[in-house]
Amino acid sequence: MNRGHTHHEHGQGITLVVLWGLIVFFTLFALPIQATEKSKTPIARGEILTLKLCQACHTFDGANQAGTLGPPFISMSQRFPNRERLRNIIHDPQKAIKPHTMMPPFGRHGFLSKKQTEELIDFLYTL
Amino acid sequence: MKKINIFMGILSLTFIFPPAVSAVESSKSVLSESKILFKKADKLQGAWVTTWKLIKKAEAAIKKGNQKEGLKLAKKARSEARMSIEQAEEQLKNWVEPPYIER
Amino acid sequence: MKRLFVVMLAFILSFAITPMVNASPQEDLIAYKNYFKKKFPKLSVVDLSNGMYNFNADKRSQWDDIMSFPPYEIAIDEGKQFFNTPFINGKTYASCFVNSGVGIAHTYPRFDKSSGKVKTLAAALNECRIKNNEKPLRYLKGKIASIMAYMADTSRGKVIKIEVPNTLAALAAYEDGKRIYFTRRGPRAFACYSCHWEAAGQKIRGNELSTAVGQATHFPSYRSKWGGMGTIQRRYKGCMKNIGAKPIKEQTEAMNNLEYFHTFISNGIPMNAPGTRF
Repeated sequence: MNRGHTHHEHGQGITLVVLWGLIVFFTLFALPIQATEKSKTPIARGEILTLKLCQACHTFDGANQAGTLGPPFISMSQRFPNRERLRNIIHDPQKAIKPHTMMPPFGRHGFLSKKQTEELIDFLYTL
Repeated sequence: MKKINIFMGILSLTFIFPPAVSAVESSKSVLSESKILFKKADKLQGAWVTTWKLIKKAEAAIKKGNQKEGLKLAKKARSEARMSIEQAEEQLKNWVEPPYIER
Repeated sequence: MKRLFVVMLAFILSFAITPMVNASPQEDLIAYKNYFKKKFPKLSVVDLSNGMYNFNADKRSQWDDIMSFPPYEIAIDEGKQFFNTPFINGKTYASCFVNSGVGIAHTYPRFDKSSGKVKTLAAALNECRIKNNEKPLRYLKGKIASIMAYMADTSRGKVIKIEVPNTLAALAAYEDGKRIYFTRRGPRAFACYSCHWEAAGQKIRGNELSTAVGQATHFPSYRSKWGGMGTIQRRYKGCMKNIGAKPIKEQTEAMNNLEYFHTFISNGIPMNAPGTRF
């Protein structure tokens, strides 16, 4: 019966425990962050898009910036009951609104993918 | 027989590696094309700042050996360069004063 | 046969007089000023040179405070010194300009008949240097902006007076500048007019936008963002970059034509330069 361990075997054991501990530690802490990012709802992602693309010109309740170049985002689902119309405006406002509008063509010029456009509209409809 | 097997083995490798080889050529050719298109847009006074940044990022990625990323960025640069040329050519023909300026 | 010749000649001549068929610069000026007069009835034409400070009482108050000790004063003093320091050959800048360079800045840029191109004040200064065997100064900022600040200060209060001679070349330069001004550029497809006409007085993020008419009156300008003086073409480049468009190179024909058109539309408004913007 071997009741003892050599110093070397003892050291190896501690190293393994530490390594596993680190793996478990980082996994436990990393996963929640990843989970939060991935679990952001389409509406939440839509709101983030307004910060980058819309709030410079449009204000709304809860906006971080105070742009007044465009109309405020208010009662959006009543003002734009036709989702397709809102989609067209975001894609190419020079065609959907007026040729001399200053609103950028977010869809035509590649600022937004189709998926992002839908998420943006989902958020706008909450306003 | 042994020689045939070795030959077939080498031949089969070309099915595994071509994607990597073609990605190298493809990313470089797309990058080259995007640079040409950027210069064309610039001549029309219509180049975009973002296009040049994408070109630089693509170059850096390809230099680091990240062909997939390099190709993705180069394609985006090329797409932007095309859009900027389209914009510049269209505007050259159709620029107007806005209609709210009364005369 | 004779009739055919006359018809052909008339046809060919119609291309020569086509520039005249576009609205004349004077007609443009009237239309543009009327637009802003209608949009901002409480603002006088002189007020337009105050730019964004017309639209925010708080910022106007801060600006008024700053103007008690304008940050451009140092540049004026420096500029005067540079202007009066002789070149190696003993001559000064005064030798190159009408009225020794005093009280003339409000008439630039000018259309230069000999070259058939627009000449900016900055270019005229460097032309003077080269003529006197000196190296040209770098454009946009630094020494040249200081000299221009001094020269502008000697024109302060004089109305902007840009002339567009009724010649094909001058009108073409004016029209080219107008084209550049009204052309959409960059991924956001903004033109200069996008921000400074219908949107003038409105806010982009936290900042009110100035009116197109009156803008050129306060350049060169001290901007807190720059931490120093800059010429109008420095501002154009910054603006172009802001909208994502690759800036047009300074002192190129295109940029000079833009400055020509853009300054012309402030004709009749007193020069208030150098200016300050924070």
